[in-house]
Amino acid sequence: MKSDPQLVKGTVRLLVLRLLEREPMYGYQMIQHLENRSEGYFRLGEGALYPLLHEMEEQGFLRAEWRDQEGRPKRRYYHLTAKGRKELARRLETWEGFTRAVDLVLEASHV
Amino acid sequence: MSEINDYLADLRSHLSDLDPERADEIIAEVRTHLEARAEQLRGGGMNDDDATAAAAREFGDPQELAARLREANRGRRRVGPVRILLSVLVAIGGLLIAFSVAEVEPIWLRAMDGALASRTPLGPHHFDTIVMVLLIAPVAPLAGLLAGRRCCWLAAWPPLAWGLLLWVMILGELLLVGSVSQSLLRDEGVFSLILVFFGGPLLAGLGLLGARLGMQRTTAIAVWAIGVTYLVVLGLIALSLQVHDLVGRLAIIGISGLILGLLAAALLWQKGKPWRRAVLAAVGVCLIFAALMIASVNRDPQQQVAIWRRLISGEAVLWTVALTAYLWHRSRAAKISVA
Repeated sequence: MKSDPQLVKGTVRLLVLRLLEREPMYGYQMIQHLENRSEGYFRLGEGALYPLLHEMEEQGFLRAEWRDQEGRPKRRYYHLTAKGRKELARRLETWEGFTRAVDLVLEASHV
Repeated sequence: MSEINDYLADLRSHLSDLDPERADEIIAEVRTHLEARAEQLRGGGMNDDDATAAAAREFGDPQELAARLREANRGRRRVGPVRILLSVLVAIGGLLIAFSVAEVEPIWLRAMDGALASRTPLGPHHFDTIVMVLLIAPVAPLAGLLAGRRCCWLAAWPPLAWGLLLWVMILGELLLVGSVSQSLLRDEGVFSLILVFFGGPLLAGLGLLGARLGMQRTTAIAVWAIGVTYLVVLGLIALSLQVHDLVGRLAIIGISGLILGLLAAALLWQKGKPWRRAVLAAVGVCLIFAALMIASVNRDPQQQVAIWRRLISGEAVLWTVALTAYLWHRSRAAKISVA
């Protein structure tokens, strides 16, 4: 299934926040998770992810730390902050309202 | 691997606007990503050179990426000592120009003064105020805004403060609030130097609080050093020129006020949200300064009132606005601690 870049762009913040809600991750890991969980729909460009992560970090939604890896270079892990959790809840609510409204219109159009 | 190194060197060269430590951190993060991706591609059967080249290519044009990264890291822009020094020099330069113009009084300015005096309710002795405003007021805020946009509001403070002050002065004149600016510039003679001494403690204090404000260590030291130099050197010059004995006392009061103000700020820092702390700290510093000024500079009740009004209407407002704007900006940047 081919993804719509505009739709992806509009939802990627929500997806990143949701990913990080469960566990801290580093950038490359996020890209792989998004791609795998969406069965290849969300193939996020590497160059797009890091500016987004840094922006969310600046806004206080994420916190980052370098972690040592055994026998490997250190990686920068992103955590969700308390502010980030609130933002996630807000975005989820908005998303649910949006999809419900779209479903209502689409279902009504079928009748 | 050389492809990755070349890519990272190119990317780094476009991140010079950012704080160097932040730029290095970004490069380290991108490096781990590229190496992981290259390893994955090698696992898929690609040879080493092709894998690193493909990993770098996938990451996109370094110049475009750097532009997005700079935008996303606005709060981490370079606060280099050179920029702050230049900004302070702009403020001092403005001061010197204003004084020299006021002293020289060239013919064309005399003519302008006469023309202005004949068409406005301003008296002929408002000459240097008008000249100062005409020369500096339009330029200083622009310089400050440019410095703030390109660097940070700390660097923007001196020119912005100058611009703001001058506009307040001319508006005060036009509204005929009283000959406030005239008396400050000519009769009192040291108002501009007072501002310089207030700028010193501000910068020195910001430097001392640098770590809490999220500054890098080198930046905080640079800010502190410039503030102290600003305070001490200009104080010595002023004293050696015997501009006014008030200046010497102000230098001492400035240092005392700085110590007490920082103490108050440190106590207030423990409570409340960042912007509240910033406002409280700024107000605390201003009040301490005002109290010290009144207590030690002049014992004449009428002049004490005049000093009080001047502080409240000029320096105190300036301090509060500058500190609040700066700390608010820093709190929005939401710096993180990186292990």
